[in-house]
Amino acid sequence: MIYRNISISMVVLFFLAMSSCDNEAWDDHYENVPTQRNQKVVDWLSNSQDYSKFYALLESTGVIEELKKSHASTVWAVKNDQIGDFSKLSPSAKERLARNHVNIGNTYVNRLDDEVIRTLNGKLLRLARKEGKITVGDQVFLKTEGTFLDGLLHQLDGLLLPKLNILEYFKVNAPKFTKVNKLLEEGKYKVVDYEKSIAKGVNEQGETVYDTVWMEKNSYLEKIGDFSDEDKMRSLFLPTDEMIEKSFSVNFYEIFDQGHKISKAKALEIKDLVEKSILANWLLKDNYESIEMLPDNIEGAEGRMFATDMIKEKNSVVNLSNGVAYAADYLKTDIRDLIVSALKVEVKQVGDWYNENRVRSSSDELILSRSDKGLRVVAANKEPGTGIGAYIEIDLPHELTPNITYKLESRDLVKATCTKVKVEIGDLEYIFEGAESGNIWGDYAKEGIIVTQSGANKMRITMLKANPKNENGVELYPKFLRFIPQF
Amino acid sequence: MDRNKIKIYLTFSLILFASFTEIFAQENEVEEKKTEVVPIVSPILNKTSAASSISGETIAVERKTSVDQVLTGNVPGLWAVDRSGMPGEGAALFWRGKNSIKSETAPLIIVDGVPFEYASLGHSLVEGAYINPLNAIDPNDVENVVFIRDAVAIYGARASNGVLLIETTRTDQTQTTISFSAYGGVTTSPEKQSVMDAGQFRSLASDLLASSSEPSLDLEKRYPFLLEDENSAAFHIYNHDTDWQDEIMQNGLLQGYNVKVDGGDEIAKYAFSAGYTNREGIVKNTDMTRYNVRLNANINIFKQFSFSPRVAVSISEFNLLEESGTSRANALYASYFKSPILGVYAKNEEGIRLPYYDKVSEFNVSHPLALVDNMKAETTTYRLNTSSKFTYDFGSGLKANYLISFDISKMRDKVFVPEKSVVNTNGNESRHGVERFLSFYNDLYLEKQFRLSNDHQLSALAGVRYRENKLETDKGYNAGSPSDDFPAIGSGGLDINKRSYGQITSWNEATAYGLVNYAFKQRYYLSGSLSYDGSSNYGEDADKYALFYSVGGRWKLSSENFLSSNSTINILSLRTNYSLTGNDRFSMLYGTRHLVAERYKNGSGVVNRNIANTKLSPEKTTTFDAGADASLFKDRLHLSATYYIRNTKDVLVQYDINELLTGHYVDNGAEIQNKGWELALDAKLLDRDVKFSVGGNIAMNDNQLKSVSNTSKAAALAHNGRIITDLLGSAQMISQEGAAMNQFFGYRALGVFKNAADAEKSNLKDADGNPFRAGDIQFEDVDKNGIIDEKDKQAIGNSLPDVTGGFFTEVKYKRFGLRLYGDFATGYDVYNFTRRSLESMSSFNNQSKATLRRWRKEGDVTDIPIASLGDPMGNSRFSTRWLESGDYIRLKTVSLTYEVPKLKFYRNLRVYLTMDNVMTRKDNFGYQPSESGYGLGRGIAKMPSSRSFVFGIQLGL
Repeated sequence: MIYRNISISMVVLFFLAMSSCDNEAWDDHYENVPTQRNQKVVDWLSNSQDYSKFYALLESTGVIEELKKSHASTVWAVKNDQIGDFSKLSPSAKERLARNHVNIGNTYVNRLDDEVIRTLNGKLLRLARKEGKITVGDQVFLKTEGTFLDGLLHQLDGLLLPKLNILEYFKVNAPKFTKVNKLLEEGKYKVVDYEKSIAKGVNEQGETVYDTVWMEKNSYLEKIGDFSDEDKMRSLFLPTDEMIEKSFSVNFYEIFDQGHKISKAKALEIKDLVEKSILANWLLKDNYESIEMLPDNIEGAEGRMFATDMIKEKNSVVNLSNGVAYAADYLKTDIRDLIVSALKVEVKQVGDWYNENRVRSSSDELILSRSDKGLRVVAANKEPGTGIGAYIEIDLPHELTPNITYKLESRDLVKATCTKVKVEIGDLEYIFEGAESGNIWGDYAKEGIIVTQSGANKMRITMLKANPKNENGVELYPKFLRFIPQF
Repeated sequence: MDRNKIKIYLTFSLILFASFTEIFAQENEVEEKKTEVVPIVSPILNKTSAASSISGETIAVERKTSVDQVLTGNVPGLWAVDRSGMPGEGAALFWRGKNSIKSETAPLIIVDGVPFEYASLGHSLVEGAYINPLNAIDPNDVENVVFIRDAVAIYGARASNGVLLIETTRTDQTQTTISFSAYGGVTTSPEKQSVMDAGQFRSLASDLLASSSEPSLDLEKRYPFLLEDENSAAFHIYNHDTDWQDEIMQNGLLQGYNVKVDGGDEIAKYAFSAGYTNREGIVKNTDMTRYNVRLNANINIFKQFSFSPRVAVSISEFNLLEESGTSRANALYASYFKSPILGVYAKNEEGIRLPYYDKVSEFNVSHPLALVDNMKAETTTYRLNTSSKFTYDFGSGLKANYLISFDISKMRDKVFVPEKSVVNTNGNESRHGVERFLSFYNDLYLEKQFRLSNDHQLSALAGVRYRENKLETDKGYNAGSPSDDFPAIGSGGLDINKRSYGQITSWNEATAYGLVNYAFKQRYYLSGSLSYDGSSNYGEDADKYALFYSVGGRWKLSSENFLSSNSTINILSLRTNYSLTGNDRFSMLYGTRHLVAERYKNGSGVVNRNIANTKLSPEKTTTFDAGADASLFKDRLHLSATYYIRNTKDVLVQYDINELLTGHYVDNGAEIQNKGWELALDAKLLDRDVKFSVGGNIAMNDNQLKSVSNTSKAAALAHNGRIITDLLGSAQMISQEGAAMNQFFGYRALGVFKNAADAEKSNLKDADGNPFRAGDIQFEDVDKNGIIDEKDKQAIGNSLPDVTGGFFTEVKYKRFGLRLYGDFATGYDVYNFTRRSLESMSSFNNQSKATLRRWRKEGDVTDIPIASLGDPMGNSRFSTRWLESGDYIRLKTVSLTYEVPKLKFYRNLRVYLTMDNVMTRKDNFGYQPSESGYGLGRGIAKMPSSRSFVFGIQLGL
């Protein structure tokens, strides 16, 4: 009996010895994980004494609930002793403030050079390494407090106050920006959002009928650039009403001090044009992060050039979330160029009208077609092609301004001397003749000067001499005419 | 586990066992010795050989699919490493260290006297899979297995790694008996790889995005899985927590049936058996099914002349798992790497489940279930062995024997990798292949027993044998059929995708051999053997024949007067042996110029495959061993000890031609030495009502590459004393003169830089000049030049174990029996490629939970570096990070048997319950370290072994 018991005991002991550490190495390798790595950032934050105020800010503004839905976020937290007092902020401001401290994704600072992230309120936040420190927006990164299952928590030395973007700044300071806000308002329009609209069926005409969802758009933003876009950093001058008014008066009267005449009505019209030009160019083409980086002249979004001395003199900068705004009492620009741009009239593709736009119908009725350039042919005689006496009459894009001297220029007339056209405008008449030595593509300008008294908005072009054809058999006509105001 | 612990275990056990033996020595009966069983069909085993045997009874209870798996832990010095847990892959056999580089190192296998082709067969088109040719032999049909460790020179150029003799069912019954055995059981799915869940994966993915050049702005718009937005269309795609391993793993059922009928009379005896085996793997839709039939007979045509025909037919069908090192078609790998945030089925925008599997997705990992369900990896093997042995007894101890045999084998592969839900570049993929093998063998020998006097005994044997072999493989590949419903290889696809290739090789062996045994007074034994062996495998201009020999002696001290009356020492003998054997089991293509098919534009061409070494000769091994065997305490305790030195010369080495041209040259260029000890113990501690015996063996081997010469061919690149072998994942092994072979060759990882200051202080840069930073791995700068590059690679681990062995214990009480056996190994490292893939954190593959403690901020003290997409700093390069201690001790099998009391209608009935892979004490972080591959050192994503439970009966009528 004793022998049997001893034998059984030995077998059992052997089993125990074998089973005691069957998976120790495996467990030690795979299960040895710091607790924090399986913890959620919200849970840790809620239990932290040092960040209790910060947690309260996030909780009261609903950010905690958003964090719970995120699988990877970075929280830029501030300890109680550095957080300051935000109790007087409005609920919406608090929410913007809270949301400015969280971004989606794990953002590490240990290998950072320069980085831009987007916070929950859509604002861009710049992270930079400078002189041994890491700056996060306007604050300084102190340390990474924790690395969690669903994100990171970094400590900053102060709250990240959210900046306004350009559009928000104009709205918040609306009384100063009525002109630009008016343009914004006028530019609004709605289009159907076909992606979100649900097709309900078809009407009797077979057209699809939608349960329509509308999308709001803005033609001014489309033209000038979307300055609510947080993704793009812009440079601009602040288009305050005062600045624009003064820019007109300083620039315009300066010009007219030099003795040019212009009617009062036209002057007012030009003022509109001047303002429109500034309002189309206050966003700059290039970015300048500081006044020191500004060159002597800078270019606006639509190509207008401005001198920067007034900006430098004022030396006032507003840092926005998506831009750097420079203030100035007024802007200097080349008003002459502005007025010429405003007054000149261009008629393009004139020559094409003779061929393309005069079509014989079956009843010999001459049918005139429209150009897609928007010019309107109002009349033509019945001789098509190259016949002597063939003419067309066209409406000008806009009326020539009375009491302004214009120079009429034509281009691409023809090389040979056999070409001759008559241009009649108002009660004035001008003859253009091909020069022997003229380059077929070069300017052929006769100094046709018009001094319009009563204004003119119609022009007739008559062929006086047969046009030769070029080597391709294409008849050649004047391609381009323009009226340039002369000062 | 370190070596010391193993030693303590064994020492303790030995002391305990020895003390028990001391107590009970007086009280127990003498038992029949077990060490001198001589298999009927082998004339080569002699009294001077060292041999180990395993009985058929043991084999039957173990329920393995092939005999090689039973050898684990049972033969000193023989390390049988399971290739994987996939049914049918069997075990790789390594004996006494590694003594070759390009030749086969498995022992020679002789089945019923006929060499059994093993090494050149079984290479399936299913990547990573190997079909063990030994599957053709049902273990139920095995009567006995003997491994002969020395004195096998009569097998000449095939014997340098020992000889495994397998004897199938004996025909010795004169009374008809019917035996039936059946078993059924289950293989439980193994412990899963510890990989991340959905939340943990998202965190890692976010870290990878943060490390990349991907702009941080609006990440959640490009990667919606970062947010849980129920209104987002992506919510239904990424909002899962799928356990992919659970989806594809299963508990595999196993069952087997065998019927044996034997009987006869004085004139004719027969043994017929038929069997069926089916084993499911632990991955769904993988299994092995085998049908086998065997007939052995012995017919005494007339008194002096007998005829023994044997026929065995086996058909095996496999549904395999592709076991390559990528997740493209390897379902197991895909289940590790597939992101848990993805779902099994595709869903529409409303979240409604669709009736098909989800697509691959941007994480670029195949769908594991799509692979398991829709991929086909089928292999069928057919094997026919037939032999006839004629024996004529001239009388006076002289016999003539003639053995003739045919061995025909065919293996057919059909692989189809679908396109849907599977990563692919060319669409779906078809691979077909056929492997045909034919061998003709005949052996004519005379054996004579001389009765010189009572004191002098002499036996001799002489013969000639000839073997002719032919192997043909034909393979085809195509890709891009119009849909997965057209899996046939001819179903469309661009011409540029089509490939066909194969080879035909034939090789012959011829040997004249002789063996003499002499015994004097049953006390002094001498034996010698000689073979003049020819092989067609050598170079065209080399000498085709070589002489091999062995000579040995044994002195039975216990028969001397001074010990003959010793009551404690029953048998004590000393033995020694010296032999010269060879190894010609390498590709005959090394010594022969040959061409290979190569695609050229849209057509086919042929190119030179190699530069032939026309003087290539066999590897030659000289072995000296000396040992002692003892049987003590009335045969209650058996001990055996052997010391050996094996020197192998003319080892084949591959030399590359130059850095620009592919192609290589093989030469006899190295010398390898293995020396060590083998100890075995077998003790009957109790032998009364309770019978209790224990035993085990331990082998210690010291391997060394003695030299590597530069080639005789001037054009080839010299090795300059070292040979480097490439492994999976740009890992390498190195064999250097004066050191152990196959050491892992890589970087030494010293830890993770915990902060920027430490990193800056080290001033280390990578080969491109990029500085290592906080969170990166600090590698050892061997040449101290501040740059971590190829020159900093060094030998970092040992892939060959220093110590291997096995142990068993058996308890019998009345009708109950309990047998436990296990094995162990120590002193080596394993390369865990799977863990490397699961911890490199360089792509969006799911990773192991260990990466949860990855470095993330200044001051983090951890062993896991920063997550970095693309791993630009090479933190996951092959280094000591991926090597683990391979030391293990494993309780492999526990078997409980019960002999049911006899009743009228049956002779005997035994029931048993067997548990396999019971428990393992190991130090590595992967699956069984014994599956890593001895000398291969890799732990790739092969199907792991796991615990199985089997209940069976053996009924004799």
